[in-house]
Amino acid sequence: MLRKIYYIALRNLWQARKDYGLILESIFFPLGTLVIVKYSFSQMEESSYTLEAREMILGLIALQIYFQTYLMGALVLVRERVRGTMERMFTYPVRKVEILGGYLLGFSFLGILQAIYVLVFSYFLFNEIKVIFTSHLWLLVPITILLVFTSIGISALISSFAKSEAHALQFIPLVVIPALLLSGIFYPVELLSPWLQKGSYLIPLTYAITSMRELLFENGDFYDIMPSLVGMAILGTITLVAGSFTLRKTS
Amino acid sequence: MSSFIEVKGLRKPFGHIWALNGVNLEIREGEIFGILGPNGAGKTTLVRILSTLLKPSSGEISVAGFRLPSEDHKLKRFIGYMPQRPSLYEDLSASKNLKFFLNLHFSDGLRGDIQNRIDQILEFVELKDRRDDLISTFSSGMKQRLSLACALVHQPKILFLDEPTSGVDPRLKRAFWDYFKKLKQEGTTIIITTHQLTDAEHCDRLALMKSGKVFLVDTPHHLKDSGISKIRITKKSEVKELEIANFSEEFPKHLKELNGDILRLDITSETLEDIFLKLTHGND
Repeated sequence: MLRKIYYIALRNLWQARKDYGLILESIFFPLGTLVIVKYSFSQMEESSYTLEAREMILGLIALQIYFQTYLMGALVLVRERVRGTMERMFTYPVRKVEILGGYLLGFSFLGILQAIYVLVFSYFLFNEIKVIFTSHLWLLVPITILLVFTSIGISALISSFAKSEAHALQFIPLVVIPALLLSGIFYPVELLSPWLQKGSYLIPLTYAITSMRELLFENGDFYDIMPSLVGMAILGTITLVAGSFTLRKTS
Repeated sequence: MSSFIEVKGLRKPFGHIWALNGVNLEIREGEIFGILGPNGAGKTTLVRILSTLLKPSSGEISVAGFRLPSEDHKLKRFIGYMPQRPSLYEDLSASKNLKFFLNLHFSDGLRGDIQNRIDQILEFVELKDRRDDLISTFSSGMKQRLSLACALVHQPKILFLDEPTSGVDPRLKRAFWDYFKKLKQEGTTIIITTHQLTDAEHCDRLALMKSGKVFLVDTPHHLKDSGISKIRITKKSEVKELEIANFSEEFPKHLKELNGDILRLDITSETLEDIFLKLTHGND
């Protein structure tokens, strides 16, 4: 079973290595986004409605990681279904759980690679958040891994409902807009009305942002971010299990 | 063992229609078995059920001694399936495509030398010189050939081919039939769906399907023979016209009329296509 998971993951990496478009996009798109984030905040006045600039910047970095991982996972899964390679794989001796496990492993590797790139780039770009890297680097590792993990879970679940690659793109607002508004990037989650606060717990980004801020501003330790880590792990597991039930062979 | 694949009372609905509505079928080991029928007859659904891609809703199915759907995972080791569309990883090379599919079998107990097997199968489908090229650079005929190779790479006992010759030029079609006949010699059982009558003539036996049912199983020769032949005998003094069915059996009876001074003998037999159209457009 583990060998098949490994082979499916390996095949994803073979494909990514040949996909020069994907490689260039994952280098230049986050770069562009983060540069915009930097200069859009540099001229801004402090406002009583929103958080401090450095808190928002931290949230937007997490959003970038969340979104790029989701997009990669969803597009690859939909493409395999549309092209028929997903169905073909099912005629070989391989189980659903092995297929999903293989994608999870492959996407995690690629997603974490991308996340490291985004974080390293942010380190040099934003003086405001350098401290989180120097003092809490090892706690940033589980947060990043779990954020990538839940993003893949969500991409597995949502991509099951997309009929084509174009259709998968239509789901992007559904993923991004709630994340922007509810996960506490611009204002604290506590300011939301109670039912929206409950909704924010369904968004993995909320946990990532909460725990990162804990480290940066409250000087928290592992036990302070533990609830957020558990929250992301549970959310990732639920979406992956649900995704394995909705995983289809054809569109 | 005479029937290698046995299907009894197989039913499968799609929405509110029965894609398969009580299919009974027996296929022998080592034969090339054609499933013929108009679009929407249920050919693809039948093959997808036999190759474990779909679950039947009722009926008894046994393939190579494995019962479906309960033992489908065990069966997967012994089958190869070539889908209608090539369905390959376009961003990988030919050998990487084969290696991936072979890896799935090797981790499930298959033994041997992976590299050797890949070379062997690429040689078989005549793509050895393109082994390291990306599939996205392949012509559609080459993709079809590699798709066949992917279905064959683990040396399956049973090969399911879903319309392998649709959209394929005559030369490649000929090549495909050469491959299939070689595989038959090695003992592979081949099940092929088609609506092309030129394919049907190559099969050992044919099943004719219509509206979710198999209504006739016969050899192509027998089927062709069942058609009506028009015979026109031109003698010096008269012209005689005959219409006979079952040419091979009936025609000898008319041979005695052929003695004497015949100037011309014209025989027009119904083609397999005529017979197929007549059978599939008649009443249920």
